Amino acid sequence: MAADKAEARALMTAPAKNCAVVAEFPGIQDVTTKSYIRKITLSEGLVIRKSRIENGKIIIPPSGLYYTTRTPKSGVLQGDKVLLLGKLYQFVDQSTKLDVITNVWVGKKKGVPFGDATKRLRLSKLAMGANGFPVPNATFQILKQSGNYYGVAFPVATSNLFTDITSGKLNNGSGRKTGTYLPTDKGQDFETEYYASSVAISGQTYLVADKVTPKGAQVKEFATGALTSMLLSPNEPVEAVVGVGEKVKGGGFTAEVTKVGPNWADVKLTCDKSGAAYTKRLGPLTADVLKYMPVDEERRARFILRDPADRVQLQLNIYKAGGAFQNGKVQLALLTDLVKLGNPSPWTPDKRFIYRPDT
Amino acid sequence: MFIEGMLENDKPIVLDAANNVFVGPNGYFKVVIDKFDGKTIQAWHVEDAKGNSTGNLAGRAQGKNIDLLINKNCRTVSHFMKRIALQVLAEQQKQIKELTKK
Repeated sequence: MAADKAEARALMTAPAKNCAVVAEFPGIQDVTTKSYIRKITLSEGLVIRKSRIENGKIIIPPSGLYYTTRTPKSGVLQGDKVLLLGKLYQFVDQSTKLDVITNVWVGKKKGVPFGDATKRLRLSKLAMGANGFPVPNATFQILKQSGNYYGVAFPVATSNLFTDITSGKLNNGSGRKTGTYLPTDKGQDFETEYYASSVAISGQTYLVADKVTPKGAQVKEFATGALTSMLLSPNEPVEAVVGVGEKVKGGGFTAEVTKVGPNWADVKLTCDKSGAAYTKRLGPLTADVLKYMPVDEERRARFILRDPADRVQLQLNIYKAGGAFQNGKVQLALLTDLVKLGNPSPWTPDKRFIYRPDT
Repeated sequence: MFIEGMLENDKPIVLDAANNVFVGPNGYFKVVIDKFDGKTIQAWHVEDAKGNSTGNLAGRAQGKNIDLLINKNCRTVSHFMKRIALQVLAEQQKQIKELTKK
């Protein structure tokens, strides 16, 4: 697992421009599945990068060959699945982190590492004539482990020739009415009216620029999220609508409902072999809690009970048709034989490989 | 939110004419070197677990590397493909012209 000292990993690099291209191949699949709330297509891919011929041998460096599995932003609790080497797994849970860097200078076409240094913040473009007069506009991108860029670019500029919209200058519009204006019209000065932003955002990701110059940019602060771990289940979930005293069995565990409230349920999870039992109140399920679900890790935990070794997960099935609470009973799902994957972690079934989320 | 996961080789992969097969994770695919003289790869291909095989993949790199992209429907792959799509289109039209020459 340790980085190979003899040869650096080929992370954050793309295949050669003259690489072999195979549009479709039976063994690298696309699979359409149904979750509780949507139909999703999962696609596999195969990439080789940085291969070379040296001393009569063909060499692929560490991380130079990767199998990739792509999902359309899968969420937990909603029955989404993950395709891995042709097999579908239930996407059970995940944990995340936020990587932050502050006060860094990034030169034109250069990048700076952040987090565990497997990703870089790159100043991909520094355009001087973008507005028709020479003033620098910077476009940052996040270069990921796969060699791809994060889907959104981050354009920033700071110049006294621009109005920085973070001042709120355009918050209520310019005050102009619908129509056509000329530079000579009274009160018009639009030929020198240019806007830019010193802040660029995409959801949780944000970049704040201190200064953009023709040579590079000073970043005041940049932050972006990533996965730290995920739990998958190779089995179909055991799903049931159960009342007090009723049981659900699977994965060497028995789940039981001990009490049901208007928007909560007390549950007990017992290991069949050891007899060890774990209890929790799942819920309460309120409109406020649902606002940031299912991504809100802390609130999501209110609907989940796992044994300490993360072998099984019992969850209030809030996204399945019919809802979590039905006539004094609760809808549960028991996810079994959980597999935990880190960022990165060895791929246990074949230790020649490392698993790594590319987010 | 989960978007993409990768399974990468941990150690360098070294292939030659004698050691000519690399088996992917869980045997899911194979990279096979068919013809290599120590300087140029004349022929290589990828096989899946069911025995389906690509054609010879040595053409575009003229045997100088075995860099690869498979499956246009996978967004990770398609982003890379889009960077070279126009070049690939020109190459393929040239090849079609060659093939249809009477």
